[in-house]
Amino acid sequence: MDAAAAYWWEAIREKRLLVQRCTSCSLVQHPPGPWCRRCRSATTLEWTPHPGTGRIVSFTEVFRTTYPEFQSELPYWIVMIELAPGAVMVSNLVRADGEAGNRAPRIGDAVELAYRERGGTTVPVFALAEQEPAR
Amino acid sequence: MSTREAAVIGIAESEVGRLPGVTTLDLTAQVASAAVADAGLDLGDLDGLITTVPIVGGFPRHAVAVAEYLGIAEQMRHCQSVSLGGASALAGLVDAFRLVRTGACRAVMVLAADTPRSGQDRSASVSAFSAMRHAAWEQPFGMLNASAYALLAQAYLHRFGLDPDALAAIPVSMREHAVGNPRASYRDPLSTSDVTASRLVSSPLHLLECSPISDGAAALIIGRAGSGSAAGRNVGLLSGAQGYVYDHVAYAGDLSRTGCRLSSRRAMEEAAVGVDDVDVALLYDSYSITLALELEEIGICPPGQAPDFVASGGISLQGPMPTNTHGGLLSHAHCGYAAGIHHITEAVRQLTGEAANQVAGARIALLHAEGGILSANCTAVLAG
Repeated sequence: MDAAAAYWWEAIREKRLLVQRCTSCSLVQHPPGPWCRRCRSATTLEWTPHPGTGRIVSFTEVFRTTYPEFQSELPYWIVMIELAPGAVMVSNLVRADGEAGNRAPRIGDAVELAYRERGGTTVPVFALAEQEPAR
Repeated sequence: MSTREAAVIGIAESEVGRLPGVTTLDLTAQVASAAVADAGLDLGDLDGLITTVPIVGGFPRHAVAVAEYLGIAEQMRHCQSVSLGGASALAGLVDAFRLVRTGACRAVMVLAADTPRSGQDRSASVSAFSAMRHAAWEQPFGMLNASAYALLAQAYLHRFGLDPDALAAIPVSMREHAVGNPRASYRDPLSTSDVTASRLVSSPLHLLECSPISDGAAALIIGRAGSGSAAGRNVGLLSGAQGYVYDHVAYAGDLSRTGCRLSSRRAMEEAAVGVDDVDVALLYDSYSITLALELEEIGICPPGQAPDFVASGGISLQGPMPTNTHGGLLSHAHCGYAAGIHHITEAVRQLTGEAANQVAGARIALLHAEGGILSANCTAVLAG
């Protein structure tokens, strides 16, 4: 953990998804850090609210796990979500509330942010966007 | 930069697999003693020690503790514990050559020993691997090492439009080599349908695409060229280089390139060696996807073609690039944080004509090792 991670997770507890944007080189980066990892400017990094929409760049379905808090969720999906060009976030894919069974994800699928309580903390997760455009 | 020629002048390996009742230190003493004997030296001739840091039985200053245990601490001019995961042993070998070439040391032992299979409860070893995931950006989402590789694999299969079971050819090829190697742990023949019928660990990776955890050790002695025993081991290092793009997949952003591309290009340029010059390749194969990406990033086959290349015999003993002729981590053994050192001992055997699956006339060996999720990368070119 560092100060940026602590700030980001504190915002998640308030159900706000933040990304860092560099006003100098315009990079949007995740995970956050002490400066822009492209131009290394520390003074031009701004916390910016993110709408929580993105696309799946990879996914895996986990069938056995060593994490006690995940045993009851098996099998579960881990996804990598592109929030902006170059800004990719590891998260979980969950079913949209109230839906009995979403289909398996595909790379390129649009997703929307949701929140779950897990292990006494709020975690950001994603669900497949309901209006998937025809392809 | 080299003022003195250096060479691998001795090697030793322990048994690998499940070794109940044998500790990491027991294996350490066993291979240390055997390696100096193989070099025609004794422990008193060593003045440098480089070790990997084991999962089980490690010390905070591991190399120093091993020197102390072996009774060689006072003569050490250089002790170094390498923490680059699976790249540690190969990176240590490159450093050992530097120490001998510059004259900083006369004889350096590179030693890797670990007992994650029998030295602690198996679930503790598996948990130790998941504890390697990033605390802020991976662990909260249940990320496992296998899942991180699975994310690379899924992106790879999608990028090239490959079948979900395409990578199954890779463990099958490793097993074909292990069948011919009495030292390998897993020697029953294996088919692609066996691989795809094994349970999914983290999709698209099946159990038999993941290397099983073993106990085991090996050691290498690097000294002045020609100073070894009558056995005549004299294997030189043409080049060695590291390469990094990310450490955790949570920071990777682009899953289509890894540090293997950087380290292999650096090492092959430094050695002025191309793929066509290489007689045998020893490439880290923690998972099926690991070897597929390395074959492509090194340039042994074109992007997206590793599964077809392997399925058509590209890395078999008679193929254009015999690879992991001992059976690899997938079928020989994955000895925790000693993993990778048996790729080096196999390379030395190939270059001295002593391998179980000998590639006729092998003169140039290309080695690649990686730690993490293709995070820490080291490539080296050895010459017999």
